[in-house]
Amino acid sequence: MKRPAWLFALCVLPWALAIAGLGWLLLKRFPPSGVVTLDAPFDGRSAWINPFLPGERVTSPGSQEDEWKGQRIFGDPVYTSARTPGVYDEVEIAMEFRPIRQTLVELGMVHNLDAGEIDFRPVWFAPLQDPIWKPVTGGYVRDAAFGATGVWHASTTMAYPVDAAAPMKGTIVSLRGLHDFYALPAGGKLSFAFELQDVNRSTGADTVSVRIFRGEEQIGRESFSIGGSSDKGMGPVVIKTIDVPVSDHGVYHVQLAMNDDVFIRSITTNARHWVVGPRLVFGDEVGYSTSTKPAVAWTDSRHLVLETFHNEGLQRVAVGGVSTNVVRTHEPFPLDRTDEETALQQLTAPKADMRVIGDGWFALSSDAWFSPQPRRMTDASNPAGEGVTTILTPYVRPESLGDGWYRAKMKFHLDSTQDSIRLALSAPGIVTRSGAVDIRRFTLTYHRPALTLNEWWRVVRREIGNIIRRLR
Amino acid sequence: MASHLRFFFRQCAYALAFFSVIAIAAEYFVPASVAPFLDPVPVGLIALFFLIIDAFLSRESDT
Repeated sequence: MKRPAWLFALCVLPWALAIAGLGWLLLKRFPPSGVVTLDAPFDGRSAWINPFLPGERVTSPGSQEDEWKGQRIFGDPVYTSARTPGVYDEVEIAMEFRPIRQTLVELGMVHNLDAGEIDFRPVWFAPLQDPIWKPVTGGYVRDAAFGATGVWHASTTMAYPVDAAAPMKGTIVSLRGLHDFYALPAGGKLSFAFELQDVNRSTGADTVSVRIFRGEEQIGRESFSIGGSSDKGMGPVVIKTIDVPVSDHGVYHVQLAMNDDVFIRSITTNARHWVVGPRLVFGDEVGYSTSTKPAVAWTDSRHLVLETFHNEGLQRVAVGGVSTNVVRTHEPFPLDRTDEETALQQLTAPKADMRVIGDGWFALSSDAWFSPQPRRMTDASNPAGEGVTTILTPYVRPESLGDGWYRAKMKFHLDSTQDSIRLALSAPGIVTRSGAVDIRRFTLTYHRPALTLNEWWRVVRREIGNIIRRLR
Repeated sequence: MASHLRFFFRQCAYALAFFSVIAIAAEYFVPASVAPFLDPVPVGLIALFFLIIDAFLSRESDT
């Protein structure tokens, strides 16, 4: 049967609609401006961002008891993930939140959770809401009679003494697991010799990874195995010598990354000034020595967190004129100095066997101390009360939305192979102070260059690459 | 006239099926490329329903 021309014209309509629909989807995936904004009320129903987990640290997303919609966080840390709407270079996250008795909140992008690679950004720091703090380029300042500098997710250039050459000098220690050493070269040279021992409390070989930095730049890396695969009991003490390639004056950072099965038994160095931190773990000497020596260090830390994992480590730990009793294992105990004393203070843990994390640095002899960087701000910091006059930080005060709600914005670089991003929210000390952080909305703005023919081709290639990777 | 309407209906069913097949394939190969904006499964089911009706009507006209 012959069809009339008007029928063919009419039949173009459904096909045009189908093609227009596909075009609309294509524009959603490849917006010509290169910017896509996804507004996601945090009620657990968004296709773009998931609720925070684990469940024991958060409430169920949705309607909350005090008549608002979102999710309440009362444990630390918590994690969420967001689905990326395509290949983008950067995401700007705007988070609407309400801190309740919580002084410090950070949000980070997780790159490798097992290795602790989380790129944290400051979200909230209650002391900096005080108008005495004036925002300046690179941080905040206040008028004060005495000077001190703090730092929160920022780096700085400091003045350091030029040390004369010195002979190698040994220090007997019993430090356990990962440690970061900061040192100044003496006479243009810097060497370390570490006596390491795999105590094999967990059977098997362990790996020690050495990374060397000058400032922020990594200048050396080496890994080696310590202990045999079926070794049990105390392994032999081995000496690892590290000659740091000194190219210029400044602070050099040597990181020994290893698990808690590996002990450092002595440190020998030619550096006159060297410190450890912010993590310092005094190990026991069971099976190595007949008695465990008291742990002593000198520090500028004002806020420390203490934790022991053995009953033998329960003890009173003192720093300067304050002390705290660590009375339970596997529980962090804060130790805070509230004085305005700026001199070094002695830290003593008579029974050792204690993990100490400070906001400053630790020296194992008082004359070796120097400050490689300013003290970190922590949730316990009271910068005005502690004599801090300058805080170097990329923190921008969040926008107030009323009723205690704020909107904070932060940007993260994206890897083009990421289908999703994983975020971590840290609210240190939230359990101790019975605090909470309420989250009611996320706005995710993804950016890439505006679509030109070249850019479109680049994005399509990456999308195809991602499809192939997914199908493998 | 009934024949013309059936022809138009068939074209609508084919266009909808074409759209839903591409949308479902895109969602399979690139997860979340379509679903957050438009769920392709109900669209595909509607297209399937239209195709079934079209096949039924064609069989009736043949007999």
